[in-house]
Amino acid sequence: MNRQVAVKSLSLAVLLALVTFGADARSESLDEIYDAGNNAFWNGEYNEAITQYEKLESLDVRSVPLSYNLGTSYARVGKLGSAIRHYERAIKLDPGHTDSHHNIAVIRDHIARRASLEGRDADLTPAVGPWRAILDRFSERGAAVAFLVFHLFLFGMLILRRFVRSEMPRLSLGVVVGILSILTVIAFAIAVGKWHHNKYAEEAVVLTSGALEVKEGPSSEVTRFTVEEGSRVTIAEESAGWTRFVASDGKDGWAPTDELGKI
Amino acid sequence: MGKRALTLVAATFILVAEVAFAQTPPPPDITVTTDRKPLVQGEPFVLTIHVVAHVGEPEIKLPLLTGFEVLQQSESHPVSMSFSFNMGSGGTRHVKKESVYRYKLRANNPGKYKLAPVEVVQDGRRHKGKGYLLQVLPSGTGGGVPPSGGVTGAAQRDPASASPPPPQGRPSAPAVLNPGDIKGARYDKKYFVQTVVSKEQAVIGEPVVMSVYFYTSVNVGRPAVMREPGTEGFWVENLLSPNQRHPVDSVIINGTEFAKVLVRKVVLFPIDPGKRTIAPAIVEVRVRTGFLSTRKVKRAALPVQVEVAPLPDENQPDGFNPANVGELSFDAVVDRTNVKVGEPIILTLKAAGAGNIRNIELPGYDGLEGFKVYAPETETEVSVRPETVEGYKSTQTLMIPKKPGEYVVQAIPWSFFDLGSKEYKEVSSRAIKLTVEGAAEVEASPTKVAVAPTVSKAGQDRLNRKLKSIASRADLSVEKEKPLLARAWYLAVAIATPLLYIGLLVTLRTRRKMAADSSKGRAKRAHSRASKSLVELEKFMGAKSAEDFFAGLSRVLLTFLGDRLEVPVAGDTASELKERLIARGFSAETAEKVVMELEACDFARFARGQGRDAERRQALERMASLLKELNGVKVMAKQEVKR
Repeated sequence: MNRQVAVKSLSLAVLLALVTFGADARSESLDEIYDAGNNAFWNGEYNEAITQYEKLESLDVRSVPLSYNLGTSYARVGKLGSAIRHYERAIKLDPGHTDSHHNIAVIRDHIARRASLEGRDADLTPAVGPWRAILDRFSERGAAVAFLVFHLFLFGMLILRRFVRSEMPRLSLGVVVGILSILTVIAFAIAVGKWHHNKYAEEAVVLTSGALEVKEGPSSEVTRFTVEEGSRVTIAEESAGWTRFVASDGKDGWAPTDELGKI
Repeated sequence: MGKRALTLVAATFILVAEVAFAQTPPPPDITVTTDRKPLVQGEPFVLTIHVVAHVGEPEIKLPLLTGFEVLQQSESHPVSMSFSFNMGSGGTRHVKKESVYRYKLRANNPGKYKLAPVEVVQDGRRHKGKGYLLQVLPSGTGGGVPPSGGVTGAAQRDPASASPPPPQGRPSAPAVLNPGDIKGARYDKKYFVQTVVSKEQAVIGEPVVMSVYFYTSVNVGRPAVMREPGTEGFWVENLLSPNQRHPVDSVIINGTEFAKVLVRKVVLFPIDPGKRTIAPAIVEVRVRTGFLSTRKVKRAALPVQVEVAPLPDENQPDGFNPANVGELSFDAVVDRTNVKVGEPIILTLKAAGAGNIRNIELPGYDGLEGFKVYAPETETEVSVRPETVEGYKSTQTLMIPKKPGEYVVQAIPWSFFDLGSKEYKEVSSRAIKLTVEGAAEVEASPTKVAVAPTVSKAGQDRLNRKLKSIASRADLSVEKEKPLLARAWYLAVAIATPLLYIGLLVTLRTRRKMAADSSKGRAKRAHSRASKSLVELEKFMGAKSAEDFFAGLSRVLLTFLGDRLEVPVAGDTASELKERLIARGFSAETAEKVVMELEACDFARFARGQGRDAERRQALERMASLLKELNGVKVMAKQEVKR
């Protein structure tokens, strides 16, 4: 019996060591790839930097600085749609990431000016309603954490109030409970709203250099309207290599799926 | 007896001494060696410092290698174990910790270099090795075999590291500074960071070299830049290759010797005029705090300012691009001047020199009548120098002649701001004669070609200047796809909390109800018992004596009260009983009735001449009525009364 226990313990220890060192080795190689990307960027080898960063993405690494660096590298090689797409990804993970916001604004302004020189009106700033504007300020994780914290505090205060007999403390606790209730409801609404948006609303960015001609239907030759590189659109359906989407001004149409990059 | 005692004492003494000496570890072994002798100026050699500690984790202070260029360095820490057997203490395991430090060095000046002794703190005691003297002979002196391999690959790739040897002379002693002399830094007696710029005033496009130094007076790991200096408003070119070993110098500040490590060196090209503040870099190092434990320490420099003046308006050429600043030359060449119709010619326009090469804008080429001209390809090559960047930028335009003849590629004008003479220069490429032979090509019908968007190199460069640079550090982790809101533990906590609250409410309510029910039940049972007792008394009303009857009646009332109040009341006096009843929720009137009824029973027990049946029946009826009245009263719980 003792021998069995000893063998089991040893196997567990070996397994644990393998997992730990394996994880350490893996995380070290992720850093190496990231550093290689950065070094390539600093040496002006932007395409090489993109290759290294995309290697990390293919390993399912999701990180704000990674998406941001990919966006900046794409911007340096003139692929502005791809740049905006990666900045949007960074903002999706961290709505308060100021560098991404700054660079997106710079690129959108550049595209708008380029479009106006080419005789097109382009306002790439996505038109969003007030509810979406509120949702965009919070990350999904942040809203969920805020809701849980308010929720726990609310019920904690309710339980405490149950056992307090004096009038003034009960009144004060009542006020606190009232405020916490409102905050909890708001946090819940935002958390659920974010979750729903992230799960069901698929958004993409136009990758086509210049302007994308949006068609009447899949493989149609008839152009409905054009949409600028870097514009954010909402995907409605996909069919045989074509995607129907809705632009921020409400117009919808079809374009080859390759011309859009999902956020 | 005496001899025996003496032997015992001696043996004990030897035993204690053995144990004591066995406990005291031997001092560490410190050796310093070089791989060749004599040492010659300019020729690399390997310095090895070997420390063997016999106890625990030693703290090793290595000497600073002032006056030497560090080409390569490595360290290893093999651990070896041995066993020894000592009398009295049995077998002992000795763990030896070796530390081997190897430096590939080069002395650029001849002379005598004294290395400070290696210090080792072992088991709380400080041990000092011997100082080491390195004599470097002037170059050209015979001796030592040149080492194979030369400098490291990284240094070979980077021409900046192959700098020419400094002038001959005595090796320079470490600079002695006061904390106030160190601009751009927050002085700290252990470690701090300094930002230095080569100039505080520049014009647009003029290179400003910015260096970030990490100073340390203690042994630390390799410093890493956690946050790059803020270089908004500048175009940045890196002068220190990431693969290059950080140059280390030494300074003395306030009597303490610091190693000064260059961690960043960039050249900044100002883009816009104005006062530019370079936000401080943050450098992180690992500091050893114990065996296998380290902690990270961060230090930030102070911000530094650079005043950027605009380029002069006077004599500025029309359409001048402010990116064209430097010490530059410009020309145009073709790969061949004599071709046949249909054979390609490549026209190369090239600007070369020192400056912000990547951002230079070259003039376009409008084309040549009789040639099909394709969009140009741009090529840039930049090489890093110690204080600036050099290189060239060129555009290569493919031209294919369509008809024979003599053609001239006219001189192409270009202007730039020359930093040497601080004035605008308008230059032109040479004019180039081309000779095309053969028969003219038949024009093909024009094919509709999709027009790509206008891609302006100048526009792209302007965009690049405005973009913020990349993040140097990231916390990389594989993202779990499930959002927080959908995770089981989250839902469990969110749902469990209100359920817990509801459970608490239900529990409290149930307890109150049970308390109320049990008192009701008790009251019911008490009344039922009392009623039965009254019925019994009525049955045997005639048979019992007055004493027995009225005692029984009194007992019924007292038992009922005892049941209701949950305390025995038989021993209470009249006033005590009255007080008790009032305290437990009975009205004063009811309490008075009870007391009076009991007193009546007591009186009737012993009174003579009482009508038997009539009085007894009356007493029974009064008692039944009183019991009914008492039953209707809600008795306060004992705990509530105590409160």
